[in-house]
Amino acid sequence: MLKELVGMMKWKSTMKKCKDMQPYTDEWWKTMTEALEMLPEDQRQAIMDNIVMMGVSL
Amino acid sequence: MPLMEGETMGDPVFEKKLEKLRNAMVFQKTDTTPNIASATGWQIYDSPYSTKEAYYDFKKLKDAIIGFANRYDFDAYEWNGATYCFPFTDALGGGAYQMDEKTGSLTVVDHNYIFPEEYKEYADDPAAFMRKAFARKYPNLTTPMFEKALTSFFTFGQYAAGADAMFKDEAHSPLMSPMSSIVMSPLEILNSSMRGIKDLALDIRRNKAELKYFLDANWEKVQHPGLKRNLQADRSDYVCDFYSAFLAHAFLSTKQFEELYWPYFKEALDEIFAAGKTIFIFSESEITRFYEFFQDVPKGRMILQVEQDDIRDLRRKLPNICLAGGFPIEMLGHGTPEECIDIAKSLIDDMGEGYILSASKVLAYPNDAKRENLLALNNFVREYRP
Repeated sequence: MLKELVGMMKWKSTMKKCKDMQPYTDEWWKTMTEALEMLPEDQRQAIMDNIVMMGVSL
Repeated sequence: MPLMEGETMGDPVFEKKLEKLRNAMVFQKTDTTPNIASATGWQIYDSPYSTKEAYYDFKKLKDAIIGFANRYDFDAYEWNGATYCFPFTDALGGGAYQMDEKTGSLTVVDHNYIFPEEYKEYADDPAAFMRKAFARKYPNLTTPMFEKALTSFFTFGQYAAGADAMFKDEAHSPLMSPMSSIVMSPLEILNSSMRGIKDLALDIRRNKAELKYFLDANWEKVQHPGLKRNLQADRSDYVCDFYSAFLAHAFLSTKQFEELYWPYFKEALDEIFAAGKTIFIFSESEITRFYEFFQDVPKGRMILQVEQDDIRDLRRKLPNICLAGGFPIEMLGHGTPEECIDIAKSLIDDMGEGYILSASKVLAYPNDAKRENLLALNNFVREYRP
């Protein structure tokens, strides 16, 4: 639980830094994926792909 | 016998329901006919909450779902959690599902995020193309909006991850299939998510070669790897190991179905059955005209839930598949309790083994059912021993 909270805090701070970034550039996607710090590194891309898939589908 | 360390007491009600459904699937006689619910929207109308309240608050949604389950006590439930993603798609800028706040009803807007000249581009790198489609769908997205959407996505994920336990622990009932083990023929992805019915129907006639790039790539790079992963998963708490939905077949000719739909799905079925697994299929519209494709399905490995078919006719054509459905939804909404009981008795008597009672359509709108009819029907089915 504590690990998840720390991960969420890091995510929030990374997001804050990127708030003025132009969406949908390669750099933006890369940064958004890296921002999922509360997840293990090998799962971040899969989760981002899932978010994109659901966003398109729903 | 005392429990060993780490061992938990099974839930006899849950186990009995699961066994009843599985026995029906393999055409074994059950003490009473299994009765399953597909009431995505109606269960909210039957709750103290408005549709908007329930869709935007997972605690209220859970109250509505469990209240419905405990009131009617079905043997198993279908659950399409993805419908409940309004906070996620709203944060992104608005999704395909539109809610009429006055009636609470949901409609899906036909949408188009890929064009025939892009099918090859999708085939080269599906994940990269999906990001392009995402940008096309949400052109005004900002980073703060995306951050909010991510928070909603993870909140929803936590809720969805707990849905199985919610049904098992609080409704003492299994789900028909896991939400995470879905396999679809690639044409369904275009139909429901990316191209829309009208343009897809045109592509089938005018751009078939390009269309096949998409279908092959979606199968080989997306659906098939997912199927392989899910074949390894333990799904022992579900009635079936896999779920699929047939929607796009409704506007295909038999020849188009054979060429563009069935080959991918047949490959999936072959692998599912070779691994000793089972599948639950929900078929929208009518599927009887494609019955010959299903004649080779091994007996006892598939449950096919139908909507507008004559289920008695389909029983004769497909004696190898457990069928679900057949109860006319109009009677639940507009008939009397006595009429509902008469129809249920006739269906159960005619269908025999390998049959699961369910409504002929998903209960989605306020007038789809009356509480007294559903209570009378379920009380009867729970007691009736043909």
